[in-house]
Amino acid sequence: MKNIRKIILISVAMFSAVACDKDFEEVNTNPNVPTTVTPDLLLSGVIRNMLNLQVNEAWGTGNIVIQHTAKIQFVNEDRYLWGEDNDYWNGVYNNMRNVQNIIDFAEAAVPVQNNYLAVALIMKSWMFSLVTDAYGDAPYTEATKGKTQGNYVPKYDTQETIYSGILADLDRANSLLGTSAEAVGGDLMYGGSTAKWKKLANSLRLRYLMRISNKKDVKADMQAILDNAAANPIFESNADNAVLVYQTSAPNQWPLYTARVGSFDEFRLSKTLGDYLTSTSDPRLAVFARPTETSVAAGTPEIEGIPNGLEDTQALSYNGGPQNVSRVGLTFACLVCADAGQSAPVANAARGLLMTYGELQFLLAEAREKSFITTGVAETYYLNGINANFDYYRSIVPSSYGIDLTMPAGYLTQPAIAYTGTTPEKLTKIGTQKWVALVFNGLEAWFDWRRTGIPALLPGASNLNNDLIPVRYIYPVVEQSLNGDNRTEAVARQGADNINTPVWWDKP
Amino acid sequence: MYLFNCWLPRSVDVSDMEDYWMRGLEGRRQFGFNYNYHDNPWFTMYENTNGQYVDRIIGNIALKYDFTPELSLMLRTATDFSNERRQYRRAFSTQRFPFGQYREAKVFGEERNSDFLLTYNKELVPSTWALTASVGGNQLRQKSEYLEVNAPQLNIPEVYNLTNFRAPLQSTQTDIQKRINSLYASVQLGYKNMIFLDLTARNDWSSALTLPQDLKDAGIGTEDNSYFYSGAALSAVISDMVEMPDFLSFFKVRGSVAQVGNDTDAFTFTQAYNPSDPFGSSQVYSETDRLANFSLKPEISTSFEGGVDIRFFGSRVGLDFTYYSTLTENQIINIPLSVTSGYNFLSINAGEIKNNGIEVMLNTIPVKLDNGFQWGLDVNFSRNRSEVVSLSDGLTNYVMANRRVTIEARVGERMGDMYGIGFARVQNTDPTKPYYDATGQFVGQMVYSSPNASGQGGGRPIRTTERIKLGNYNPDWMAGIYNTFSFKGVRLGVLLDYRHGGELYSETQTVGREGGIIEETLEGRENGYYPQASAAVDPQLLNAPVGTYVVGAGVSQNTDGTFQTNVHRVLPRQWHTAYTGGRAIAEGVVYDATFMKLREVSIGYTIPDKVFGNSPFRSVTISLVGRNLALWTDVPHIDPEVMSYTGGTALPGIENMSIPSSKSYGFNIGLKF
Repeated sequence: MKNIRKIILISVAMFSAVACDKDFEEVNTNPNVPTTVTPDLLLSGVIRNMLNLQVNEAWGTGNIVIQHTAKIQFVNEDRYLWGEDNDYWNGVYNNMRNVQNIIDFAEAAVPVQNNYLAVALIMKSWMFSLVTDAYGDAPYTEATKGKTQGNYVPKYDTQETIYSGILADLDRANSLLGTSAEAVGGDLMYGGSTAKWKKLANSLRLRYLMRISNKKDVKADMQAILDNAAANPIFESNADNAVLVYQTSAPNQWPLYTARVGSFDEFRLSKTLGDYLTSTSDPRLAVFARPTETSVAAGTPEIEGIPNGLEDTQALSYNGGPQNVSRVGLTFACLVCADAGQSAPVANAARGLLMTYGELQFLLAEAREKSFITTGVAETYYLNGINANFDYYRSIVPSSYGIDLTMPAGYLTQPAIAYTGTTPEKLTKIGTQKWVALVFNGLEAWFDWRRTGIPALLPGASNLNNDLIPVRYIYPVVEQSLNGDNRTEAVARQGADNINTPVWWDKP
Repeated sequence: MYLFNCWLPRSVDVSDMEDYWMRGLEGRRQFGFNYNYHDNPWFTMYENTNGQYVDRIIGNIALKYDFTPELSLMLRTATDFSNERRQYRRAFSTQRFPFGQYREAKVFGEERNSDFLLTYNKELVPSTWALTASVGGNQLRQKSEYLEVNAPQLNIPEVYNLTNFRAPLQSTQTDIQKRINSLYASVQLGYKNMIFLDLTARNDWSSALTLPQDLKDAGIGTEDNSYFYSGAALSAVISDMVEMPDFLSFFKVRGSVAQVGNDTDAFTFTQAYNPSDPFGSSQVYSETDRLANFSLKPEISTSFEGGVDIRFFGSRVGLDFTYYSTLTENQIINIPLSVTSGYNFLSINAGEIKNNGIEVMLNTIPVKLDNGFQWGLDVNFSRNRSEVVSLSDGLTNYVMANRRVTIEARVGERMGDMYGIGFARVQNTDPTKPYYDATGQFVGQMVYSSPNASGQGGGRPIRTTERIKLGNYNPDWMAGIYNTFSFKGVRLGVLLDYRHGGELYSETQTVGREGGIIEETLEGRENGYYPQASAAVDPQLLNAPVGTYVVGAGVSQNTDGTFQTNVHRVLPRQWHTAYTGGRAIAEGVVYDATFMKLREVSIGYTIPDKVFGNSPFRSVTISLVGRNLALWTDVPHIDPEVMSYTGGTALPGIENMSIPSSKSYGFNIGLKF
């Protein structure tokens, strides 16, 4: 009987233990990860991811479509057989989640963390410009509100709306910076310098005002920035460049450093860039490309590009084969991409580019030449831009590569470069030098070309797009399933969802 | 499979690569057929290994006490415990790991169940009413610990040790625990072995549906961690109750209503910020892309099932028919979102998902001879349909899989519809849309591109901009046929499986066409190749001999908008990429997944007991079994039954470089003592 009592006692004890949810709060508390963080921890990731994306997008599409590079194998993108290119779309919105968190954290702090808020607004503006310049209309005002407002199907805003927002946010960021005490951490570009972020905000404003200048009169806004240099500082030298400096060791090396050699070697110097730089005896050519293997073996090193948009076999057999076509420069190369006898490239020579001083100078030259602004002299801006880009490469190309980047005597005064001629000729010279300065800067050179048509590019002979150079990315196809109605509305407004429909600022 | 299906030329003899190190560079440089993209498969197999060592213990202790002959109590604790070590090695010169890699993971897992069951068993009225009643409870404890350390690059080749790192070590740690407590009761009542009634009820409490304390303190979310579900089943053997005609030997009907409750994974309520590799001294975090739902409720599915079991002619013919219908309410899913919302997934309770179908099983013995020969024929048939009746949070589409095509469950439509980019076709319904043909002459035909100014790029299929419906991955119905023949101890069994309908997207086909080593790519090179030099001066291939190019069946559009039959010639190496629009167009590589499989053939012989005389062996059986011996299907190169996976989740209807299913042969000896 005693035993029975014991057993009943045990079972009752078990019963009562079972019959409730004691300690469940603790059991279901995740010990592995935080549920809140400080803004610096998010900012570092946003900057790294976005600058890596710039490099990869330039490599995969930007450099090709703008004819800095050309492909010798797997030539679909070079022939404009473009399917989806979702990296900007996914990259921007996925990182915007963290930008939105920085904004929310900064605004919720007491006192408000204006510096973080401003930095986040600058990143947000730049990131949305990438999406809208690539795709056109896109979710903006309702985007990234899944958590805060339960909006899972954000409507697409017009590009005009997006640009109004971008310009207003950059203006606001400029006034917010320096009005709070907190130091900005996780800032992989400027090490927390609010003064430099201010310069970036205003330099980007000039970039985006210029972008929409075929649609809107931007004179007053541009001039207003320059009229008050104290309130609206802009880049003053390469030291202000918005760039990511990579590290020597994994995993924060130049993104292409870990590429497979086969993939890397599909990309070669484009004849378009090669011919231009050769014709002007430009030493930067040796940064962008290496002498062909055959010419090196013969003791007469020569750099030769390949025309864009050739069909597979023609591309692979051009000029007698890949050994007669220049590989992309060592500065940008992968670990095992050195030529025979060369030592491995430096893992962190090249930078991830957001915007440089050189680009800004070309923007100002164009603005001055078009009389959008009255400050300064167009030629000075133009020459500053060229010199700035030479300086930039002199500072990053390792001396061990033996590339002499001294500007040759007479370089700036030769007819193709000298700031002479009619206004259209001068604008072409500005645009062409800017095109050189934008190598590896994401899709910026392509955006600029779509606005100006400079330089005059010809689609490759074997192109598959009715002899048209694409001017847009198609929306990610899965949007048709996940946000179908809003996408359909945008397509109805903007034009067919194909690569030949111009975006608003590019529409005639 | 990517290498073998698509990129390893037939001219490469794999056995030539067996000696996979370069002479003098053993351990440092692999030898292979292509140093630009691919690893030597022997090298991959012998050097880049994924090792796994598991210790596992399963055990239980049970205590049973009979208070009276009718009343008993059982107490039990069971554990399933495993300790695992995984080692991932990547040798120097691996394409993606020039400096090799070594990754090691320790995985500890335990599932412990403690339960009690009090049972009362009595014949209430002898030979008439029998009762079994029980009450019980269970506690389930799950625990896992995962610790991984990665040396992303190695210093010295062939030393796979975490101290041999060339780049900083990276670590990952995840500890998970979950508990479910349950109480349940059941009653079984039988009347004269003819009518049976089963009633069950159960309540579960799940830690996974419990809000963590910090959320409770902040007043976030609504907790619902307790869920009750019950069931009832009634069956009656009519043939024992009522006088039946002679040919009807057995007749049973059954019906049941059953509910099942379900919770979710642990830590679903954590809206986490996940760490990634630091950048120098800067730590890096990112908010998880799955949006938590702090008011998640348990899911309950209710199914009704009814069936009959009839046997005729002394069980020579048996028919078992079942109809079922299941309604799942509040099903917990991570539904994909447009990334523009800031998140890629949302954890939701999906409103209502309906599922119904039939299953029929026919067992017959068509031939039974006096000499002992017997032929048995069993056939089963099943058909199932699912539909999302409603979702939640304003969402109307559940994208179940996404890779080149999407598999979707749109509200109100059949679950599993496949959408993807199709071939543009001539239409005469909407003059504002492309490829409008007022004459109607060419409606429905595929449209091909016209050549560009250089005479190139013509004759390629044009894609639609919008996704079109390409089918549904689910089969219309499935069946199995099992034949057995037995004669004097010899037994032959043949099992055939058949699946009818359903569509499948094949990535093997998409990429294999580009690589040019699958049979389909012979199209356009029956008579060899049109020389490159000729193609360069004759881009439209006007002088190319027949059998060196492809002309797609359809039309091309003239500059004035009219259409003409497509005459543009395409070189085969262009055509096979053009056919999928460079991996964009899915329509051409979607196949009817119908198949018939010779699932099993077995032949056995039972040695007569007398052979063994007085030895203890009895019923000694020797048999040969072959499985998956033959496959008949229109899907090229692959087994339509093999699915692809992403991160452990199956992608239904999407084949991706699947490994061929294997035939197997076995030999069995059965002994009884």
